[in-house]
Amino acid sequence: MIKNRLHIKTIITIALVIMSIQKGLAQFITAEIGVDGLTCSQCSRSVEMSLLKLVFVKDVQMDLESTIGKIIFKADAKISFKKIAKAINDAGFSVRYLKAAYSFKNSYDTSNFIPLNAFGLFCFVNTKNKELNGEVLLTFLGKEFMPKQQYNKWKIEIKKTCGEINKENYYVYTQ
Amino acid sequence: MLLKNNLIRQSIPLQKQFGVALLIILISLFSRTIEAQELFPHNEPASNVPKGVFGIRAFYKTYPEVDLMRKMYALRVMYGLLPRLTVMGTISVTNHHGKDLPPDLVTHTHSGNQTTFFTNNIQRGIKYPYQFSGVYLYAKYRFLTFDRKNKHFRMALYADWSNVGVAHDEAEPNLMDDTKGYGGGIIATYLKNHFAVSFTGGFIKPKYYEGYSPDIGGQKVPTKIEYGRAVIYNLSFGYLIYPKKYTDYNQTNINLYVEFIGKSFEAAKVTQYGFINVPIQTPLLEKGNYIELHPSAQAIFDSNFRVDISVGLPLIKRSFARFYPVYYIGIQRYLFPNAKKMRNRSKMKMQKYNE
Repeated sequence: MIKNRLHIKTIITIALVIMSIQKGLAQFITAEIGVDGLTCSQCSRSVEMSLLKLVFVKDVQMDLESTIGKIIFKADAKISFKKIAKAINDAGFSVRYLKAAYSFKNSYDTSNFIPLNAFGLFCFVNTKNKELNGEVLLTFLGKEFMPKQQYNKWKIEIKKTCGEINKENYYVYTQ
Repeated sequence: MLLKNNLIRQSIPLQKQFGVALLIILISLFSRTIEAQELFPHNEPASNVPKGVFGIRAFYKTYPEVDLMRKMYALRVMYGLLPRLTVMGTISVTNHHGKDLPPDLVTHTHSGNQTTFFTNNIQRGIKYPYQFSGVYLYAKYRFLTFDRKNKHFRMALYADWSNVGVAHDEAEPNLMDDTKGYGGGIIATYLKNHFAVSFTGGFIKPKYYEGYSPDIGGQKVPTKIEYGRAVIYNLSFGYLIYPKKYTDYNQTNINLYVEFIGKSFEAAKVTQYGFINVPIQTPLLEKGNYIELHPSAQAIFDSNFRVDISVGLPLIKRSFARFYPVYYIGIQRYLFPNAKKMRNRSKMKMQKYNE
């Protein structure tokens, strides 16, 4: 009897651990951002300070040589990627690209808008009818996430897949 | 007068040679893609102070005048009002001017029906007490941003205003140091592979000064000076000599700059007893133009605390509002609102990681 109880307890514990891991994985943990227009360490510091102001940001690591920043998010935080882009602009610079990895615990059909742990829904461009499972790298599409000319090229593609562009949503593609 | 003119014109050829030599060195350096910066000590780049961030700069300018030193102590506060809009306010204290204009500023002779106005009492090397000059305001709006990896081309418009109304007795207007008035202009800054160059073109519309100039008998004569309107044209180059490779924010950065500061201005008009006296026969009150050369060295500690040192020399003609060399020392830092969060973190290193 006692043995059985222990057994059940162990099973429950393992199940809980797995669930919590899955819960932990099913969110954005880090993002990578390429910053344009900066060359000095003072500028890089300004970018970092601006990003650190965001409540959902735990840490930022800037590599000045490549002008790439790694953003680490707080656990279970709701992320605003638009605020990340705004922070870069506030510091006086521009976003070259923004990528974030998301671990999908279930498989998703990308023909729909998907809610993730961010403000707004995600529409997958160029990935229609593809199933998302496991860790997927999402590259953000939008005028705040890339140089203007590059965005203009994507615009038609976004409209084709996701319909009229809604400011509240995110448009991403997977590699 | 002769002595004064000799004093003014001395050593220009030597400095001109020095300037040309420096320019050649610079061009040869830049042709090898030396890393550069745009944090110019004298000219503002088209870039801005980050939004919501305060900056403080304290600076000191001095030059020898005959056997004394003229000095200016100034304090500047800057603020990033918007990502594209920076505002600044500067206050200064100087010993450049007296309470009144120099005595006998304008006199005249009669020859038949003709009256000739001239200045025969140019004062140099007179000791003046320190005076609070006033407030100088500056706003800059970046209207064009072309950012790419490790390079940018940006353009900004600026406007400035000053209530500095000291007894300035030269035609050349200087909004922060000497004259009331306003100005404006355009800035274009280009940066590629750490090479930086910036051009500033603008104008100054000075306001007149009304005060007194004692005559020979010591009687204070009401005197009005209308300074000349001016056009400014400045060109700045800069490059980073240390570090060769960035590893962390604690590395001290050493930058070298060369800035060309040019101005062209109209003659001043002096009014006494209802007469507008134009032209005044002295280079100080006549129209003029010049280009100065300001080589500078800059150290930035902890990616924030900035120390600038420079020497200003005349390259083409000269300014009559100052003597040379003009020494400049400035310190500056940004005050980030979330600096505490930054400090609480362990000593952070910039880490390279694979994409």
